[in-house]
Amino acid sequence: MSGEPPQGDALIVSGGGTTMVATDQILADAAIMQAVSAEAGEWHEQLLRIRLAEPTPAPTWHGDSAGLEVMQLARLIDVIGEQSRVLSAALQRAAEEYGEAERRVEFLARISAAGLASALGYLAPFLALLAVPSLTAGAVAWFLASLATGSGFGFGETSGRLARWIDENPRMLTNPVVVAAVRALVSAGDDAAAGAFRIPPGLSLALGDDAAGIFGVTTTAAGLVAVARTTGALRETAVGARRVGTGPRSPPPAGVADLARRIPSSARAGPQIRIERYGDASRRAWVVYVGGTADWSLVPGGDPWDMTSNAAAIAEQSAGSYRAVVEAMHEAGVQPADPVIGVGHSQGGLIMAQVAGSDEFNTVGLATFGAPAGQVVIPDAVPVIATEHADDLVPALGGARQDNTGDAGRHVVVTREAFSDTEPPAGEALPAHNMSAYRETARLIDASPEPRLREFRAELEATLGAEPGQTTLWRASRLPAG
Amino acid sequence: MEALESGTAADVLGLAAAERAERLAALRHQRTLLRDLRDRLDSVARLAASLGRATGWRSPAQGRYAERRDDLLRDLSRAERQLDIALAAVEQAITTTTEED
Repeated sequence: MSGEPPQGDALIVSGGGTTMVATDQILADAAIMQAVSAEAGEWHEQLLRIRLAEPTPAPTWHGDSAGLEVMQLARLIDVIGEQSRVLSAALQRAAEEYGEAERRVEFLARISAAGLASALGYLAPFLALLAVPSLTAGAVAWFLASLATGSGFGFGETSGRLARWIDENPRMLTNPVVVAAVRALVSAGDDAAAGAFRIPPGLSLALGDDAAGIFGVTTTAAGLVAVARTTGALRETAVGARRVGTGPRSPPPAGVADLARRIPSSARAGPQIRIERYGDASRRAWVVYVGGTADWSLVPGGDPWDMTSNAAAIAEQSAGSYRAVVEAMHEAGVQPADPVIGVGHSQGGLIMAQVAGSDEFNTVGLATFGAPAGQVVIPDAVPVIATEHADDLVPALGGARQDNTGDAGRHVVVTREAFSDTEPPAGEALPAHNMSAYRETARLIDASPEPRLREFRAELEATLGAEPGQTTLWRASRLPAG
Repeated sequence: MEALESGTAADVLGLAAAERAERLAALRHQRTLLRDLRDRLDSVARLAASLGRATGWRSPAQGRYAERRDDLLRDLSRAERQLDIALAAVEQAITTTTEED
């Protein structure tokens, strides 16, 4: 019997064509109960055939007759069928209610944040702080960039004290409540802008992410980029990608943990892209791994895996890192119809989500880790596992997730609180965003009995086969103007 | 008369042998069906063995679920035992019928 994992190992699974949200164990139990219930119906028919084959008439049965045992067995199987049916329904109902409650809380947080943002935006002329509509997302991004680079916030001693306080209170940023609040605030950035233009809160909500999708995180980020560019920050440049290495032939990734392990580290000067080719010339399949942000400065340097690409990607503009990945894929020989599995951490996940959302390549699977890609529209039929730590701020910067609860939806979100039962390490700004934490979650995903997570692993094998593949490593740089 | 009697005895013996053969065939068919059912029950019982087992603190709802899940697992075990008994009874009937020959 498998034991229920300790709380820190619990995975919450949502999406994937259902409104259910629950731990992977509950969803796995519900599927098992359903299978038992269906089997019990078939056992009943088999028992009927067994009774028809009984050569001894019932009146002559004695204590150890098979006929008597079969009759008792039929009653027991009826009970098993009914028990499993009721339990399966109860588990599914619990998961539905959990999902409904979560959606209600998210919606209320969104409404509250939108109302507040709209009111503040309305008062913007009197509140210089909110004069820039995209300040919410921008402030968070700037704040994170400052933490990552250790450059402080530019407000002298006060900001230094704040940075030290955050350093001494690592739970402050590694906190699911803060993450949820940031997600709601980021999603409400457009409502502040709408308020500033005197658009009523109801109308701005109707035009926003939750309804028409005309305004939203994308417009907020675009506003941020436009304003920042006037100061010389976040200016996109041309990029170039070149092959910097060829790895040994490696076996195909066996699961999500292998995918996570092969993502290039975001160390400066190393390759940002790893491309693996499987199959022969007649039937090629590819896995493209993309690392996370390496350069947190707001002014673009040489590495396109920077804040400029982050902001451009969230604004759905042509990010330098996106163009670099597309160039590397073309150079590697990926053809438009070849099946591609995209894998990425943080900015890399956002980029591969955008590749999956474009029609330039044939993405047949996507695994992201801590990616702010909630707003990227990916075709429903593409299987996606988006792994997001509940205490990781970065995915929240992508705003509220696109709804994927329709019948055809195959986008599964796996959430886990990385530091639910241990204290986050001091001195690290965002430990729940580290790839080491996501690698541990990926290991739990592989061990999970949840049917959709198992299915993803099976599809990986079906797409890539069993033969070793060829690895190439790619490094991209920003090119000087002119 | 003697010939008639001996013919009747032979007929009766022949009829009894035919009945035993028919019974034996029915029992063997029943055994095949029971073994098939046993295999299917086994594989579901193995699947059900992976149902989550909570440890430590549980809410009342989790507790009730765990009780009913344990009831189900117990009933699956009982069904397996019952099926073994039915199979043993059929095996015994096959042995007895074969020995009668």
